[in-house]
Amino acid sequence: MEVVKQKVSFNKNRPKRHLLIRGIGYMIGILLFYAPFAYYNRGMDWILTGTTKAEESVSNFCLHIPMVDFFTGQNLALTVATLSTLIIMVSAFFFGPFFCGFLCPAGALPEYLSRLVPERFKINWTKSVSSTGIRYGMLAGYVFSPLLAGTVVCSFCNYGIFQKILNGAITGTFIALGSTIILTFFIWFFLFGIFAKGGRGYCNFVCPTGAMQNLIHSIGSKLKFTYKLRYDKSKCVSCLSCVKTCPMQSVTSAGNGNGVLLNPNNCLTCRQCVATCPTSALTFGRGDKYHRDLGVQITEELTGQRRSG
Amino acid sequence: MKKAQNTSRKTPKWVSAILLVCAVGVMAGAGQYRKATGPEGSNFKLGFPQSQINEMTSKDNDNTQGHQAHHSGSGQTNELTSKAGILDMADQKWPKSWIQPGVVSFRSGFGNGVKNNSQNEYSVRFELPDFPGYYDMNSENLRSENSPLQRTFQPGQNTNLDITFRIGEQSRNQALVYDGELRAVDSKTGEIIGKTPIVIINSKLDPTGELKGRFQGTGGGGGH
Repeated sequence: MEVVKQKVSFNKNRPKRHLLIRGIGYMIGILLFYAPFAYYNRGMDWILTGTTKAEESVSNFCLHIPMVDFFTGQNLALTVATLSTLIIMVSAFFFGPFFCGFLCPAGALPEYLSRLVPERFKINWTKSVSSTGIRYGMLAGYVFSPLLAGTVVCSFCNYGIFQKILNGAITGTFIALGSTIILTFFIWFFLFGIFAKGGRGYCNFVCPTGAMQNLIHSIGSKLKFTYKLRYDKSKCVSCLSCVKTCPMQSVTSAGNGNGVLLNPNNCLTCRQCVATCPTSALTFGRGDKYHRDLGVQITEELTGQRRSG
Repeated sequence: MKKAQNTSRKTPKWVSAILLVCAVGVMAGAGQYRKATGPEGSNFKLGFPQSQINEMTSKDNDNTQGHQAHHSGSGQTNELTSKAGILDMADQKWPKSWIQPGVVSFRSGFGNGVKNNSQNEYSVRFELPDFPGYYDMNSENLRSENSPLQRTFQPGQNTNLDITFRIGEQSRNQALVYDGELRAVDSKTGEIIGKTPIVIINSKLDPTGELKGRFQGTGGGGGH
């Protein structure tokens, strides 16, 4: 194997540029799915029914409710919501949770705002407890909630809260909040949001759509022909910049300078880690998740003061 | 390309299993909590036109199940029956009572609950006479503040109407906050073609339970 000794330099503009690109994606998400715009909902409604509703909002696109309907076998008519849910689940198999990583503004808002909050004020919820068991348990509880103690759809919905915020900001609509919405807002925006490491605690632990996409992605990522986050340990210098930037704590340190570990059960495939990695040890593409490019090994010689692993 | 060692860290399966069961339990608890907070908002329904409307008042509905109304075009099986909206402010749980106690909503449902039961087109004005405070009415993309909301209904059209009330502290500190009705008025003739009671009480201030007894079973609760 050829050993290449090179200096590894951190390009600070690349992660910022990627954050900006994702931000543009989330703005497009507002235009596509949320009132008063909801252009995707209107277009799909027109395709499916030949007309559009007078009032289109994220309710027409809701990806949460069809999952309950699929499990309970109710309301399986072809609507914007059911068709969109199917499209997003199929795309998650091939490309991962692309919707969460680039289009869902309800997940992005607390993530972006949390980047403005100093780290010392943030709680790292996943530090001692893996989110995988909890989020899949939440997903199971969510889809079977009609059979357990009554459905929880809409009452604990981050999409609905984001729509209410938009309504208030754009149209000045005056709204009555229920206790469940107030609690969800507190959890989504504060406790699991801007004061949580990564700002995506709600996505990590509660969101059923994200959990379902990751469940599908965790299966799809085992196959070579699907797209996934890939890690080449031979290129990794254990700088842990990817660990710091991952909003879901999907990339974690393996400890003792042994590189990083990937968890497809909560990876958004937002590729923020790819944009941050100074040695291209992390890439997004087809093939094995853990792989090694033969012929090149980068030794640990960093520039700057970012070496922390 | 050679496959490298899979270094994925595994949380012990028994830990994940326990967390999974706990999370299912949390969701079940959330479902129970949702049920408990349902009465913080109220649902109503309003079908029109109702015949014999002049004989009906909100008092007619005391101790009755819903607000039954006779509709034109009898024989149709999909007519919407009107249902009173009753709300008890004492049913508010602590997040609501701390953050927003004076704002309450009455909803007809998602995209339905207010229906033109006839085969005629109607231009309808929804009125809330004598409400002592601020209110806001929404129906699809139409909105009005402290004033009647007007919209056109095609034959058989079923849509939603959401009403949000802002009730001042003084009014909240009364046992009977509001006892009125939502009226559907034909804007061409001025005739009331449908109405349903809208009642807000605060049973905390009614130790005898007289008000709750009077309005119990009239179809309130179940909002949100």
